[in-house]
Amino acid sequence: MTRPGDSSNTAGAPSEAEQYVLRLFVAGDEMNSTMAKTNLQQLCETHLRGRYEIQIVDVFEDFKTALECGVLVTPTLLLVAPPPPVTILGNLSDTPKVLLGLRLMGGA
Amino acid sequence: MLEPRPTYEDLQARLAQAEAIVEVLQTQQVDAIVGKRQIALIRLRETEAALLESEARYRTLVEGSLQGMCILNRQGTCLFANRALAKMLGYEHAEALFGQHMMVFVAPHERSRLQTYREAHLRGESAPARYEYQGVRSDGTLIWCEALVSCVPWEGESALQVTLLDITERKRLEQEILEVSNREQQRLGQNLHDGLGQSLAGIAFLSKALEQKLAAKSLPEAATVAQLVDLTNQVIRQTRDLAREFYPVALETHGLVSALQLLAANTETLHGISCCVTGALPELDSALTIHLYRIAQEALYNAIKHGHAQHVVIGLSAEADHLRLTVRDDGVGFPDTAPPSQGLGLRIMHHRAHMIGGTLAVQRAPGGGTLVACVLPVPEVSP
Repeated sequence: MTRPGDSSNTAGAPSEAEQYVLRLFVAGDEMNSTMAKTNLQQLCETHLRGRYEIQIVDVFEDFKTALECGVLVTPTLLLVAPPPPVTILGNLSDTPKVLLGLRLMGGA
Repeated sequence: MLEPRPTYEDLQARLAQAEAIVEVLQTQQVDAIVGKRQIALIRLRETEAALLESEARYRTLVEGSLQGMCILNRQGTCLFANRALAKMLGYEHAEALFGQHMMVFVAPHERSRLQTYREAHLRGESAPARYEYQGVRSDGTLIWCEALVSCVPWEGESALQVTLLDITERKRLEQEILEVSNREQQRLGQNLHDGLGQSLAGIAFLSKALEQKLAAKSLPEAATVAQLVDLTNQVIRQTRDLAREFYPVALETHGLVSALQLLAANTETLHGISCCVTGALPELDSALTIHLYRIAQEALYNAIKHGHAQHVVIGLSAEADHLRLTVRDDGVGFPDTAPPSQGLGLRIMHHRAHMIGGTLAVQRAPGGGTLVACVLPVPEVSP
């Protein structure tokens, strides 16, 4: 589904915390895609340090996965784990909204 | 193969997804639409991005500029200003200037002149695109500014774009140079008068004594010595004239009007033309009078040398808010292109006028000849 070069894995995840798997669908180096990558990286480092995995899927290179996951626009972020799955659209610049969507705010 | 009929929950989920897509499309956060066969890049966003980028570039250019910049609307209200201008005028943020009337930042005695310029610019009439004026900083101190003005469209209306440079330091140096030059001329004048003049007077006195002694002995050399006495007296007169030109003693002792009258009288004697002074000015401080005297002297010199004038009138007048010095002649008139030597004299005249906060205009006088007019605001009386 994802190529090794497209994912970044952070080491030393605490065993008691839930591991987050986030899949971000982007369109090459387009502006919103680049912004989404940067925003997601920063957000994970701040709120999920040590317990996250980001999988980047470039729709130009992996069109099939995008279709299988029902992605209609880029950038799209999928929360693969923990369940239930969540889809967040856009460049992820609205941090509170993204945190809410990822269940990281409001008692998370 | 028939697709299974979607459930109500399926339809609700699709509607929610569609709504989310519309929202990100509206906020321009989408790069591409992924279709079943192809990916469509959103080109509109690229144009927007290019616009945003060019806007950002211009913002950097304006914000990073060391020159002050502002946009004024037709009424003279500041619509935009950059950081450099705010700093120049003593404000912390550029926003402090927004919505303020430009006259707030202009010294009171400069306001009517700048108002005239602004109105002319907006009407598309001729007005200087580059000028100097005195501005006011937030703490009330005065600052010398050089302004470059152009008419620009701003949000659908014509506005003025003004670029400003702080030239206070340059002005101070220029003032200093003029003062040094004035001091040097004065020193030279005094040395000529007191040093060389006195020595020459001594020579003349001794020669006269020698002539008398030789004459008493009926020696023929007495005639030669008499010539020597005449020659020495001529040199003394020339030295005195030169000294007076360098340093008009009357200016300090009797004021501007007397010094100009003396200048006119000397001009009449030396050049055989008619020259007079009309009107008067109130008592002014010495820095101001020396500049006005030098302007009149230069204009008079130009009238004789370049204009070949026969009659010159130096006019002085004081009105409610300004003082005026005019030099009018009946010469050949001001040439369209002044020769370089005259150009320098003119520039210095302009410069002197600026130094005392005034303006200088040189034009063909109605009825022939040249009219030089220096207008300056009435100086504030120091307590």
